[in-house]
Amino acid sequence: MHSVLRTLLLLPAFCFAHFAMGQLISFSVKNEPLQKVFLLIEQQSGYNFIYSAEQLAHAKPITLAVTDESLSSTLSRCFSGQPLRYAIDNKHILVIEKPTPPDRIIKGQVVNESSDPVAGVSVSIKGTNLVTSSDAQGNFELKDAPDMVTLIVSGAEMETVEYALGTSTRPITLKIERRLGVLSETVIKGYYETSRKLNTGTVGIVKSKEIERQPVSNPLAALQGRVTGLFITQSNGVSGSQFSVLIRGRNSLQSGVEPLYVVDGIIFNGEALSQRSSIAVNSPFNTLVPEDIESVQVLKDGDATALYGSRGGNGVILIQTKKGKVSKPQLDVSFSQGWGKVTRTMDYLDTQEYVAMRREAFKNDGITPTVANSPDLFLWDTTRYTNWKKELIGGTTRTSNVQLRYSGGSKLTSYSVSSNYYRESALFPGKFKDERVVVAASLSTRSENNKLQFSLTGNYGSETNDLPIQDASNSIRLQPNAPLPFDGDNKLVWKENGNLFDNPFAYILRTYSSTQDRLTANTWISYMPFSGFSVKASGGINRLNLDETSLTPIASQDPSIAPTGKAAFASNDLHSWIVELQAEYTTTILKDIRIKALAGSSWQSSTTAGTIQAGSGYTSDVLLNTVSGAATVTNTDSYSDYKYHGLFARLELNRKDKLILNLTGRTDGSSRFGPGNRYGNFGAVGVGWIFSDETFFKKLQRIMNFGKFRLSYGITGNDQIGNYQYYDLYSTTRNPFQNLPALRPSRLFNPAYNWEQKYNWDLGFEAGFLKSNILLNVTYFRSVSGNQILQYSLPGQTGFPSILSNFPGKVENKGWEIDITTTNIKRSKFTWRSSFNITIPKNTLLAFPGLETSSYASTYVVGQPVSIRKLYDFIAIDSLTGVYKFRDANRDGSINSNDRTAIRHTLPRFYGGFGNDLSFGNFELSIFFQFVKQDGVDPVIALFLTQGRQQNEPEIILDRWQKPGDVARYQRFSTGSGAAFTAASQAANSTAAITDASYIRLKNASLSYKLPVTWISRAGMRSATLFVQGQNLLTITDYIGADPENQSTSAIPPLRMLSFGARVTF
Amino acid sequence: MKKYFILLFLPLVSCKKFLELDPPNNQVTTDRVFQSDETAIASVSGIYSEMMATPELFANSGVTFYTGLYADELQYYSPSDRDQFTNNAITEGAHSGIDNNFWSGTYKFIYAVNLVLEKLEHSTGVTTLVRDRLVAECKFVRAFCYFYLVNLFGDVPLVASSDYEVNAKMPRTPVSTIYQFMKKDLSESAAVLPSTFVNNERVRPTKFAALALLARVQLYLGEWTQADEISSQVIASTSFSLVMNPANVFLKNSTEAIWQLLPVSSNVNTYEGSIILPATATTAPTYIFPLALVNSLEGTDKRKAWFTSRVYLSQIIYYPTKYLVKQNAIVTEYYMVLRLAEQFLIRSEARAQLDRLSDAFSDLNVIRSRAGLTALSSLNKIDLLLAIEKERRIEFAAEWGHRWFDLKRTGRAAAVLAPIKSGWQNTDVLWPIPYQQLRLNSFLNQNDGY
Repeated sequence: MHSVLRTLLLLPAFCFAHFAMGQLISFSVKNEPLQKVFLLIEQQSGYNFIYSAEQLAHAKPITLAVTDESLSSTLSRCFSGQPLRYAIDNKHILVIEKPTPPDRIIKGQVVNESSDPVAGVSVSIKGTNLVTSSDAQGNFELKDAPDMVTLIVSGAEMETVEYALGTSTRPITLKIERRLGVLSETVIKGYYETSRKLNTGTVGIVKSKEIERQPVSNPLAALQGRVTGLFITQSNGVSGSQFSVLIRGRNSLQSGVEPLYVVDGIIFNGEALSQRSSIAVNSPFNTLVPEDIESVQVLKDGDATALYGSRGGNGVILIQTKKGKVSKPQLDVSFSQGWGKVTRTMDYLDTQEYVAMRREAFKNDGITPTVANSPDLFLWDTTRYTNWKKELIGGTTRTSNVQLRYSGGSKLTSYSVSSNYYRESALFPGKFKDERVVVAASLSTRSENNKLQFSLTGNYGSETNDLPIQDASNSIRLQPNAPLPFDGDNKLVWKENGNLFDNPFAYILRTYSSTQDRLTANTWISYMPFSGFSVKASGGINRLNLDETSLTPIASQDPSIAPTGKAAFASNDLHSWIVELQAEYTTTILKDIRIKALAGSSWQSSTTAGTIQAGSGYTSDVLLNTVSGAATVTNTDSYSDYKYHGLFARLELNRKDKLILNLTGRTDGSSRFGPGNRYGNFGAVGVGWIFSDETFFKKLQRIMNFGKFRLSYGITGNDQIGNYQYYDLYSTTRNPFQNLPALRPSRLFNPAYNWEQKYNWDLGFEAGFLKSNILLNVTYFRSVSGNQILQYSLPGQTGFPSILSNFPGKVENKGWEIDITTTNIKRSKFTWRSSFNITIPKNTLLAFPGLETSSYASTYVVGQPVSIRKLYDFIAIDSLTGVYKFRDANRDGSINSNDRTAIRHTLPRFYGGFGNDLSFGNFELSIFFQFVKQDGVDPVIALFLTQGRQQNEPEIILDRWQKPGDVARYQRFSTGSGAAFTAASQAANSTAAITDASYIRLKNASLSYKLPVTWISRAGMRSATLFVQGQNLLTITDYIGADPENQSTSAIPPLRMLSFGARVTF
Repeated sequence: MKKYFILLFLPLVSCKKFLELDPPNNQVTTDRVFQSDETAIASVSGIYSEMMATPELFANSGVTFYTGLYADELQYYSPSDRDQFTNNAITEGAHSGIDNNFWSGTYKFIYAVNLVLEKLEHSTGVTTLVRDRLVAECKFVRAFCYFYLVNLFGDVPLVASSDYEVNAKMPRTPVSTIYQFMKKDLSESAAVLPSTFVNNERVRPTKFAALALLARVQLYLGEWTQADEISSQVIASTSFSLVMNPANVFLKNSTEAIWQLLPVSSNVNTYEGSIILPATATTAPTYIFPLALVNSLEGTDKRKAWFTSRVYLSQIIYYPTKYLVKQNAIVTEYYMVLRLAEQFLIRSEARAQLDRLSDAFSDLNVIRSRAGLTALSSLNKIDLLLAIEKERRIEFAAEWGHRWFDLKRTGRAAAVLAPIKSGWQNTDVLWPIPYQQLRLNSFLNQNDGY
């Protein structure tokens, strides 16, 4: 303050002095004390310096040459860099000590549009050489800042922005707008991270924001249609059901094709441990909470997956859960309530139509209906009508979801704890439900000097699913005039007028309940002894336990057979651990080539042990829940061990962020192979060239601001063949013999099989246009999987159906993956973004030596996809006889399996999704469609049976042949014998059974409204959002059956869900 | 590059150890099995156990059901693809069932037996007494399996080792060679097996089981003298006697039983009882007798206990009730494979063929008298043989395919079946080799007519 005042006082004199400085000065000094220079100036100018010796104590020696310069110029050059300044008063030059610098520190944080911290942005002070860059939390700090500050914020993927800070000293938040926001997003490739811009591999990313707005309980459901190359189908709409996940097609003829799942660095078992379930429920993913997920990364090509070596062949899905961020502690609460109904079903005949169908069938067969052959017509009321579809699967599920999360973090430590409760009632009649509780916690901390980092993540989920023993859809085809299920005393009806009734409610009294517990915990610690080098050790456990109880009470069985109760108790326990060590080194060579090297080792062990106790002969339903109440108990157990060891390394060479070369390699050993065949080598090379940053491209950058080519080639493997295949073993028979154990041979000795190998090629082009308002990503991929491990069928006379062996068969998967995202409108109050992705896959069996003479001659055809079916070639319905007619391909006069020469498959021809996200003020609307082009099965023909039997049929069968000359979709009704029966059974294996099952589905729509801060701040809320979300809302399809996704008549289709809720942050 | 890794992570050698696994806790390596008496015995018990574990296998109701339909012995109540057997018109649709139950399903046991025989040969951990007995049991079981294979399919590959690479390429061996092989197995087996049961549990084959099957083999081969001789040895044994009440013949360890299979499935006694018997007092049974068979029963025949009637949807139907337990956790019935009555009828037929008619009558009348029927006499040889055939048809109704095999071996299949089965062809005496197997082994050829 003092100095400022003094400056002000001196100002008039300073102005005046300016006029007096007319003389020109010349001299040259080298490393002379300042006093000497003062003397020289005094001599040439006639001005006097006024100073004290102490003042010059801190002055630096000076080297300067001036030639005919003005006094003021000379002075300013002399004083530059000195802790002194000067003022001219008349003929005196006052030497003034500069005030001790106020040590001004400027602190702040760089964040992006969505307030997430941005690392690596350069922050400098204008007019100085003070510069720093933001750290991982976006924080930066500049010391010794001058009084007046203007910050310049710049980065590779943003417009350079200036912030006039003035003299303010408060910490500031710099909100930047990334030019290529998406491109700097972190891409996690397992053992290392990179950015989208610099990534040399093919990785699909789904972020929490996309997942959160989908009212689903299984995270896999939220990925449908969102990632190219990832094809997910849900086989069943029952809560907790499993999903089939395929990345870039089927690579293996017979080995497992599931991708590798890794949750927070731990191998996650994605397969249900079920031993008893007749409905495919118990997906372990159901114990993960979609809202807990920060991001899902889908690694597809060789470059991205090779570090997972032998297990990367089917792709890798990495799931990162949410961690704490540097922020004030915050509590997020969200809750929602939803309702679900089946999406698309078929209508079935009513009684009148059903009876007419039966009579027509008898008439066609030339059979007179009698009480013996058609009790349903004679003994049951032919006017009574029950709509079984409505009774059995017409219900509504209710879902409730509550999620709490408390998180925060300081510069050194961040934390997050969350818990979730989810409940979904089943839509079957009866009190069935699926309940889930999950708690998750994460903590990470680092030392003040950044050398030591530590992280702990734990996630525990428990799910209890109560269901009937079978999907009630199985009973939809009951005769519509069947008796009412309950009599006047509310007891189950078993027959009417002597004709038995397969009461569907009996199956509802038979229950299946399962409890699934999953614990996933992971810690890592890393240490950086010197800059650029760090070592990391991590360890994790995954425990999954599934207990299942299926009960068949006496009350659920026909009392006239004097039934006894049955119960089965199964328990399956998976215990796995993983330990990994890795070291990373970063350095720069040849001036501008940045090198990142990584090497590591991984050990994994997984043990599964299961037991089943099946009790029978229960005489009372009261005792049914305990195995000790059974008259006889049968015990079964299972056990398997799996061990795995890998060494991996990676080397990245990066030239100026323009050209990147990424080499990865892995040596893997797996206990699934016999001694001598356990180790295999895998690896990949990836290259990325960001040509848009090259100088020759500068002119085009206005239009195309980003452009990259990437190319990768890699070898990955597959060991999903089951354990112990090389041992020759005896196992115990299911039941003992004379109270002693009995053994049966269970496997042939077979040490001679080896890894399946997959060769991947990927060529990608990525571009951003018009300041990244249009982002395009096009990838062409091709992979060939060889050394196929097949259960090679043996003739039955060997006593074993098959033996595992390698086969030089080759399976090719190739195709195009295209992603486009656009920002159509961007105003402060209104934004509109669109996205579109499409995958066009092609699967081909390239080679299969000896196919014709092998047991696979009827299964595969070289040049065709691996999941083809060889079918009878359907010609038409014989207009005279009214039955399906097929082409006699070999012209031998009869239709038999040799005539199955037509080839069809039901693989997707292309699939993808498109969506629009709009925000208008506080409203946000998001709509996402999923589409699949594929063939499917005709629900009527695929059943192998004639229509006209004692079971109900979908209404579509009314389009049938009735009289000579008719042209119809389905053949004549028949009770099931003779030509119509044969034709029906052949039709199921004919081209007539294949029909279009393409669809476009409104997968998700969500609308949210953010309450204005002024309304909620009084309640202590930081933000509050109300939302409506819908899933599977609308399906556009020509598919003739029920749902084109699961195409089942005996499993409920995926549900249409609607949910309402709110999300509040305190 | 790789060398670099190894330097960095020296303990690769120990990692090899890390990957070595013990066999799973619930399974045993083959070599371990044959290092002790207990596990070696368990490996043979497992064969009997597996025979009874799955219904419709050749050793577990399959032969009874499908040859019953194929002959004139059984019908299936409701229309189904089993009608192909009833109509002697087996199509490819039925081949996988034939494969699973009768072809591969039988060779599975032959493999198990061959494996035990090979391993016991080199085993040092099994005591001689146990080894000899197990070897003899295995030879019996092997002959038992081949008996049904040749009678169903004709020539079949004669697999006598466990080497799958050799076995996979074997062509069919003539029936006569296989019969010689069976006779050798059975004779060797009978020479070693004990003649008594342990605790009267008739579930492990004894000497007499081997002899009883050998007698049948010789009857089928027309070796009448040997058939007479061997069956006489069985009949002479004090271990067996006819059960006077036919309703009790099929109880567990009945005195008539020479060899029974022990039920192993929970809540099931025999699968024949479990599958055939109607679930409730008012439902239909599955397999029923044709009326012609029921009508051939003489009025006072006590064996009518095996032919139970029921009115279902205003029709009278008859179904087999040799086994009376549909479901029960308590086992009172074992599955009868070989029984004394057959030995009397074998000897009767052999003696009739040897023109010892009065001896033949006396054996036949043992069976008739147990059934409460009058004794037969004064028939000529041809009529006597027909009377024996008829007696066998009733005595063994719905039992192990006796009827079908009798019609075949006596050459009367066409004469009996052609009039009642419209689709009969003379090539129908053999079932087709499952086409799946023809594809897997190009050295196999199909039977005529398929």
